[in-house]
Amino acid sequence: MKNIVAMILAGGRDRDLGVLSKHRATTALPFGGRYRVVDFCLSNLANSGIDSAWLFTQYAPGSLIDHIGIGRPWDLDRREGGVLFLQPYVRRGSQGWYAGTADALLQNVNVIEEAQAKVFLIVSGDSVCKMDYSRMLAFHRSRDAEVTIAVTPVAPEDRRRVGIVTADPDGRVVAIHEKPRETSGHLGFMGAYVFERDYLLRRLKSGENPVNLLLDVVIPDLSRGNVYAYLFRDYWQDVGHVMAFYRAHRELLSPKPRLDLFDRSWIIFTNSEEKPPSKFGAGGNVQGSILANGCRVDGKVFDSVLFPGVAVEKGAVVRDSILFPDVVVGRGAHVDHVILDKNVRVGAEARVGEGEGRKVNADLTALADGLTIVGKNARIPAKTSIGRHCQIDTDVVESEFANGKLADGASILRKRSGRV
Amino acid sequence: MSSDYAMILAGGLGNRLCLLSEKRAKPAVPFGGKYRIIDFTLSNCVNSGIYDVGVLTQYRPLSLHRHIGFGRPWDLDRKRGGVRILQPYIGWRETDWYKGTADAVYQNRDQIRDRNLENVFILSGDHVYRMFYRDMLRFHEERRADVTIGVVRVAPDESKKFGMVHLGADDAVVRFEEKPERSETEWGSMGVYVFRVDPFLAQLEEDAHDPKSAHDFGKNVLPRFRKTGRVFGYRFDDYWQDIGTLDSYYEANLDLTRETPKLNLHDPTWIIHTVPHEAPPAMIEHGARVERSLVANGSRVAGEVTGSVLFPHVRVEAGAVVRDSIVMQECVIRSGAVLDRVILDKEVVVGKGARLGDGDGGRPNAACPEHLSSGITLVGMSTELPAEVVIGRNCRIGSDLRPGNFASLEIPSGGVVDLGPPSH
Repeated sequence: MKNIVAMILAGGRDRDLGVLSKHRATTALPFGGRYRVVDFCLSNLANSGIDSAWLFTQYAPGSLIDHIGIGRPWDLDRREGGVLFLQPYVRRGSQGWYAGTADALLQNVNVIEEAQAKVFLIVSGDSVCKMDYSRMLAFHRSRDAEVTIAVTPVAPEDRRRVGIVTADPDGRVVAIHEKPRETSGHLGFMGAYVFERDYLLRRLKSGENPVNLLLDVVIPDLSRGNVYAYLFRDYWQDVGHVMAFYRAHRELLSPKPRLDLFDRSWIIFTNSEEKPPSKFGAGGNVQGSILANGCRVDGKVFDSVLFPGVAVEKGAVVRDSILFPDVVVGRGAHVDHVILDKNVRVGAEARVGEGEGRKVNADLTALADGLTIVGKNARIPAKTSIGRHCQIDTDVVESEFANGKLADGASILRKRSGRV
Repeated sequence: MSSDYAMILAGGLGNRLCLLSEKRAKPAVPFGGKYRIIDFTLSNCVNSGIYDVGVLTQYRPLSLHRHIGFGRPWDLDRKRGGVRILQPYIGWRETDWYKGTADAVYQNRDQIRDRNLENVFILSGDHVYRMFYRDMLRFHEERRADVTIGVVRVAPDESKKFGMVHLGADDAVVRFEEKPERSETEWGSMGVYVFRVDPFLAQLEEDAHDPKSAHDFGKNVLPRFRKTGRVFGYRFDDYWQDIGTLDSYYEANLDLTRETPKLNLHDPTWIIHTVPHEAPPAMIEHGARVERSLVANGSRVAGEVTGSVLFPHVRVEAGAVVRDSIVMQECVIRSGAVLDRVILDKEVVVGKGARLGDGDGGRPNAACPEHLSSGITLVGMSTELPAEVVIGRNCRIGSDLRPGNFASLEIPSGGVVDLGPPSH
């Protein structure tokens, strides 16, 4: 589709992801055994026929830029359109970093003005869904709207984390309550907008220097009555919270997951890992799990997600866990309710995720359900015992484990790197 | 670096692969759970820093063309160099279908001449191996050779399938034997050559005008070269497999499922590039059993898979058993079906309760006993096998069959099921 540019807001870091967000924006987080979160958004664009994507990056953009490159997997390597990274830069008379979503747009207002697009699709890169944007655009046109926002039914426990939208029967937005303590509404804002070009530019350049797109651009102007809500009923999951991320993976393993990755009519494209098919050894046992190419399993894997290149050695047992690319679980080690970030090594006969899990982690109160997380490249020594609700920093080495044991709710955080 | 050029001979009919190469050239035959045979040679090229490649095709080139495309997976989509498919064309002379390997190169000699190279690689597209061609080139240059032939150790009983190469002092070639019953040497030609361009073009010219020549490298060109030029053998001591027969195809695939396979696909310093499949991770369901096997992305296994290779998007339903078999992409094995030593080409559906590779009947295949006699049963692409059918060993079940094409639900060992003769 010409005349449309998609802007992906990909700069955010969610502290509720703990060490998983230390080196990467939420958008770059691995998801679903083979993908990164941003793949869903980019694939939605590709599958919706939108071939121009701008990525607003800010926090730790390196892994995102490596992953997306010139956008080949999504057919976004184009002369016209294609991928454009908009990272904040130093210029005269500007404060530099993006203070918020609207500020990010405002700092790039010249790029927006130069674009030929008549309509802008603006989406958060931090959520996972399979959404046909062309339908939302059709809805937007049918209402002759200046702004359309996407909404979806949200479970009661999650309503305090999103904007709750009230609309009339025709879809006209009557009210938006951002992260309300209490609400009778159930439609949550998905972080996706369609803006008419002229309207967007007028509002950005109103002189009020808006910072947040929803709070400072959309909500104050609701009374004009030209903002509509597009109702999306399929699977949608914001993954900027470690438990939301974990539970979304648990659901992928259910017999009929709401997010169907096997659906051939809406393929999720990603950067190919170029690894051979997974290899299952004699005596290995895998049940209720998904594994990407390049894994080697000689041990047992139950109800888990293995990203490319994971090795589970003989006698090792992995349960209810998520193993990012190139993790090695050594001989006889046990891993239970754990997220192991990229390239983590678990020494032979170590126990990760052991015990009752009664204590909360003071550094990362978000951890629940007995979940333990281990940061990228960490080395867990052989025969060490790690409790539940533990958090282990990136790059931690064997000598940093004091006495072969880490109690429930405890953390190993590297001082030099500051608070995680 | 950019001045190296390789020509890959990928025209092979490969009739000894039976149904697998019925609809595709041998280099396009799927291998190792996600690759095609030619991926190994193409990856050898780019891993050796050769980014200028011509692929000579002839027989059933379409699936090869589709696979290679403009060479992206191998970083061969380039402005200078890159990959170019060289299909026979009708030209200003009596240009014709390629008469032999040497003729194929001769007809594309402009590709070599116009590049003004010192040397050129001539490779074969139907072998599985990992080779750093640059080492061979260095050997070639050190010997100031006109031709260097890659040679591998050949088991005594295999010499009749090879051009055997007798090596003398300094690994100079003293004698060739074409497919001898027995040989005094253990070194056989791999079909991997480095030629010095000037004498090579001269020899090709001479060969092209020789009415008695079969225009074959092994038979005609190399012996002629030995009389006039410096010919050496480069010993390659690593894994190399000519996928020449169904048995060698089957064995080379199943070797990958063993604890320490001869071919390491996991080496991050030597990636075998191929066209990505855009498939989600494989799903192994509760109640499944998967051991000693390769399973590619996109497959879903609820049944039992042992000693087997599963390509992308294969489904093995609960209660189905796949043993010592190769299952290509998009196949579906319905519940209760049992496969034992079976090769399923892609998009085959095995109906509920079907049994393939049943019994221990050793009778060779009635139609092609020379290819199907070791107990492997082969099913051609896009065939749908009826539920409850029982198929013995050494059977050949053709492509594109529907359950209605099966006159009987019992096909004894050695049996053949085909579509009737095409009606014109």
